Amino acid sequence: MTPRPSPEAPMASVESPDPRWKSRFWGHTQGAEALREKPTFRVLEQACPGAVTAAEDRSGDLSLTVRAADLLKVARTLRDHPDLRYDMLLDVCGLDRSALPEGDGGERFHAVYHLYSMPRGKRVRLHVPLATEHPEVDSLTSLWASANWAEREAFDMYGFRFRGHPDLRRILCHEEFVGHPLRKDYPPDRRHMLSRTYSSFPGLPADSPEGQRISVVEGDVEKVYINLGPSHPATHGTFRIQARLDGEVIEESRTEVGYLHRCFEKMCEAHQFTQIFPFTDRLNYLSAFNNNVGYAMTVEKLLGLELPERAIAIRVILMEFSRIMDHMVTIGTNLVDMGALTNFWYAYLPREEIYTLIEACCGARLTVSYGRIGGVSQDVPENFIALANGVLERLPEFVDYIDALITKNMIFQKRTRDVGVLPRDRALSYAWTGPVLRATGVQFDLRRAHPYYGYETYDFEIPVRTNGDVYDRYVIRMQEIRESMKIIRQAIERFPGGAHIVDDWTVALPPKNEVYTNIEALMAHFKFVMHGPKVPAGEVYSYTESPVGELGFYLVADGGPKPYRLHCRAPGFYIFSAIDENLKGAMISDFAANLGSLAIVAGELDR
Amino acid sequence: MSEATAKPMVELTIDGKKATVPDGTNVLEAAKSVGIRVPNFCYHADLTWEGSCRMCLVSIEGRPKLAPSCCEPVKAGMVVHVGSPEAETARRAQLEFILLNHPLDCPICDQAGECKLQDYYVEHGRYESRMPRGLKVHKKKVVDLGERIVLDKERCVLCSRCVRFCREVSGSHALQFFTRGVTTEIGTENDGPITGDDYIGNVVDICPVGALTAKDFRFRQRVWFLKSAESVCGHCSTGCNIRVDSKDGTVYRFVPRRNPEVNKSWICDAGRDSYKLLQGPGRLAGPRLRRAGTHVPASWEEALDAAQAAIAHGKKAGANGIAAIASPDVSTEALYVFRAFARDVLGTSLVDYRVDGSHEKTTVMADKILRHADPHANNTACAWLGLGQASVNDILDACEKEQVKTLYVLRAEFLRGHPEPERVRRALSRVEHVIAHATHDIPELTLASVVFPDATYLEMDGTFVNYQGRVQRFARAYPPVAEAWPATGVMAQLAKRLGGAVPAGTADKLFDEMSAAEPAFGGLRWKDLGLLGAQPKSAQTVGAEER
Repeated sequence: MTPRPSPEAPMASVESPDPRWKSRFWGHTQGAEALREKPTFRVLEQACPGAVTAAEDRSGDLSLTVRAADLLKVARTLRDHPDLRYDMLLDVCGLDRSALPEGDGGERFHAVYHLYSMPRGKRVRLHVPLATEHPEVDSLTSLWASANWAEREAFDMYGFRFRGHPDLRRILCHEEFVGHPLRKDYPPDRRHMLSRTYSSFPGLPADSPEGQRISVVEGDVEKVYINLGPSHPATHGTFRIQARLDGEVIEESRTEVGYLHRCFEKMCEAHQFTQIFPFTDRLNYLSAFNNNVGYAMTVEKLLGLELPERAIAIRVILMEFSRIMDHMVTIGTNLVDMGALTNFWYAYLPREEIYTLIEACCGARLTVSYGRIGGVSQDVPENFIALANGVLERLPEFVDYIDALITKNMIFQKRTRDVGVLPRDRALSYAWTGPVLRATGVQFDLRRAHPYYGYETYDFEIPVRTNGDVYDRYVIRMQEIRESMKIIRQAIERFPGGAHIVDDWTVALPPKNEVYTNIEALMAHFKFVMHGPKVPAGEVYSYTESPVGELGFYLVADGGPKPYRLHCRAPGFYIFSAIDENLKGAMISDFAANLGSLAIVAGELDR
Repeated sequence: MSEATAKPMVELTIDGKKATVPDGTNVLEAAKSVGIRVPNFCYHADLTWEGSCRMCLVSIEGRPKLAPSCCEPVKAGMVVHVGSPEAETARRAQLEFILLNHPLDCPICDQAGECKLQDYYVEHGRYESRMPRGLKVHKKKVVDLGERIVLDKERCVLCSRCVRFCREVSGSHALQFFTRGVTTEIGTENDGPITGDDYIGNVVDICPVGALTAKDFRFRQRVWFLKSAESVCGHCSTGCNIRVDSKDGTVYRFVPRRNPEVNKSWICDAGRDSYKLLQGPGRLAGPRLRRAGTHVPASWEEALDAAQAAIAHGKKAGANGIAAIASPDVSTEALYVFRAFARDVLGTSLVDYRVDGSHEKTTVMADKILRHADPHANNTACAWLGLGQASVNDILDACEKEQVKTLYVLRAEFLRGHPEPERVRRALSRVEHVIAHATHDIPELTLASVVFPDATYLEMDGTFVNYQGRVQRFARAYPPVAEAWPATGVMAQLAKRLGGAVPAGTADKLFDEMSAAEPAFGGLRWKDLGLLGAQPKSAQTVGAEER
């Protein structure tokens, strides 16, 4: 995307271009004085002088540019300094700046880190410029467990080398994949032939020959290797775990993900902002609308867009309904994996009703694509409130059934209590969020911690439990279903009139009745569809509390109709990255219970 | 540009930016020079100022009223506000006025996607429509104006660009205004067909809306699916700058690209249609070999083997055993490689390009506007590279006398231009081996023993040197079709097989190498050529010798 000079030669001398242009994108000037007062910046200046080369405020996010050589020191200070305490490494991703319309002459690659301080409720983003020829930086795996998979993903997608990473190999792409797909010079339509499956344990065959088992004998004990997946009923999607068993105990397991990888992020870079909604549906497809909203919010944050009240209310109601559905499926399938089939139907019947409600709104049930930048695609039907109330009336019955059958059920308790426990500090280190984190005793919910869409005005509880086992995860989800119903009831009470989408034709389509009757709206419609919405250049990270956890989108826009870079911080990816640690020493029969309680959706995990 | 710099410069302020432009420029162009685009329909850089659309209204300090910036010459110290609230309001009102009677045609309009009405509405408009449906004034649609043009009178915004073009550039006076007031429309006399205007295709390009559409492009492709490449028309020695719009390897149109030094904003209709010839039926899909009197398709490997053997055979016959003819239709880089190939690999001095006498007509105009009598794009480069070492007739004689065993022809189609076609056929049939690069299948190719499918200039990067000695770059619009391979690559491959070496590499590398070695190119660099080309300082004198 080199700037194309005008074919009409300038007839006169041109003054140098506006220097503000640069600062709008990568500049370091905006509010620099105010940023210097922030504790994060102040502490780092003292502890690691010279390490931070720039501090910027980008759409309200604090963003620091850190020298690659100092990253480990800076990260340790951020984590351990009593004034900072950034105890979570939320996300690591890469950025290839080579196709930006005009760079600042810096390095081609950036490693981008998102950190969160649970005690302080503060976020910070680190930009680490890496050498163009050999992008390499210290691994943060020694500080946070979440860095393990996240850095593997950045290695897979961009070819970044992380010094000191214990297991730096591809994670989402196949072993035989050539190149790094998210680099800008990788064509989006290139195809690869991938020939075979590899074993997660080097030296062992990937598949056991018919009727034989793979095992090693240590002393008088035979350790058996088993393979679960990629197509196994308990995986609810496709991924694979290979495990070494000592009797019935899982001694070591190794997990392979990426079977559903479609490079969501590359697809986004090749499509206009408006065309991305269907892709987001397929992330966590159990609650597609939450993904729609999570993505739309990101673009809206960059645009600085104010949403109509009604659009917000529709979003809140349907997001909470989707949360209920998501939890219902998680609980239902988790129980099925443990042999409790009846509850599956109690969980799925209300889900059907909610789908019918969503269908009445937008015509689709599973992959809804109902969200739009600035609102939702169309207004809810006239009888929406009646329909929603109907669903709300019948829902508690099913929740009560499950509660009565399961919550105090001895068999269930024996199968789930003290199973799959991950302690609080490990959960934070793995950047767990959502119900699984709340089950470890951390009362953290973005709807309360960083409220959006007026969640602070709703009366609801954040359930929290302390054991961090499968049972607690189940209980939290059950409680959250009831809390969500509470929120929906309040939202319905104050359901406002007005527009369902912003009245700005540069980011949203004009209404159809106008398009068909006057030339102005028709032209606006055409321009919007052909050339996409007008989104300014900039960089933003936005997050919502999805049913699984913190669903974040990191967006870099270059002023064009397509995202320059859109990274999805999938909550399930980080939760699932702890599975091997979680399974260690567990019984093989606990595998399914544990897996189901983590709410794994491969669509989101593999992106 | 030399004309422009001769004028005194005037400094003025536009939206707080200082602009320095030559005296006589209008405010609109001055604003453009500092990166401020003023919306306009009627103004066109290569037509007279009209001021009929009123979309370019701006505020000028010290003036009680807004002024149309396209008709306002700059004055020293002028302070102009393009973005003032009054000007914005006036432009918006004007746009609403223009759109009052505009039909709801975007879904079926060819212009949609490159329509100024759409662009300006989104940028400047955003008002609610106040025109009730049913009150719109309707005019004639789908008026057939002869071979090339279809007119939709309803879509017209009466900017008069086409009227001025026919009056000032083509001189045909074909399009005019008729009637008055709200029923004003453009058209021809009795809506009859336009004849005798060889440049009429340009009115489609300059029409800012979808009123004038081209018959051969209508409904064939939506513009936003097209990929554009900056190129140069190869239809004559003028070298008009064009944009090639293609999709998936099919060209849908040539559109002129503005170059004030060459073609302003125009191309002739013949050049506009030349993409049909370049793609047309009969494109060679792969190499061919003559076996037992007939031609059979072959792989590149086989074709190169055969060519290698044929060249070796010709070399054995002595100094004049091989002859080589190049066409002035190929890129300068290909000619440069060809020269080295003939000299170092073929080892012959029987080299020429002057088959059809066109080299004498390079600077002869064929009409009063743009076209030249020389139908080849690159005769000047052939002359600069000194490819006229022998005479073509001597080569043909040597062929007839069977002294030449192997004839190497770069672009065989070119031989058809010879004034005595029989003589060419006779000569070709006497030569033992003819190795020919060609883009299209022609009857004479049956006389060749090896045929290489060549890439057209749309399928590669390169340069042409036009009649002025202006070196102009063309960019690849799409990859070579089927198995076609640019001649530079083929010659490099053959040279390698025959134990020689010719310059090889991408077009930019070849050009820079050639330019450094050849004084005629005046040390121009590829990157200096830009989108508008460049003329070496010595071009005038070198060109004059040739002329």
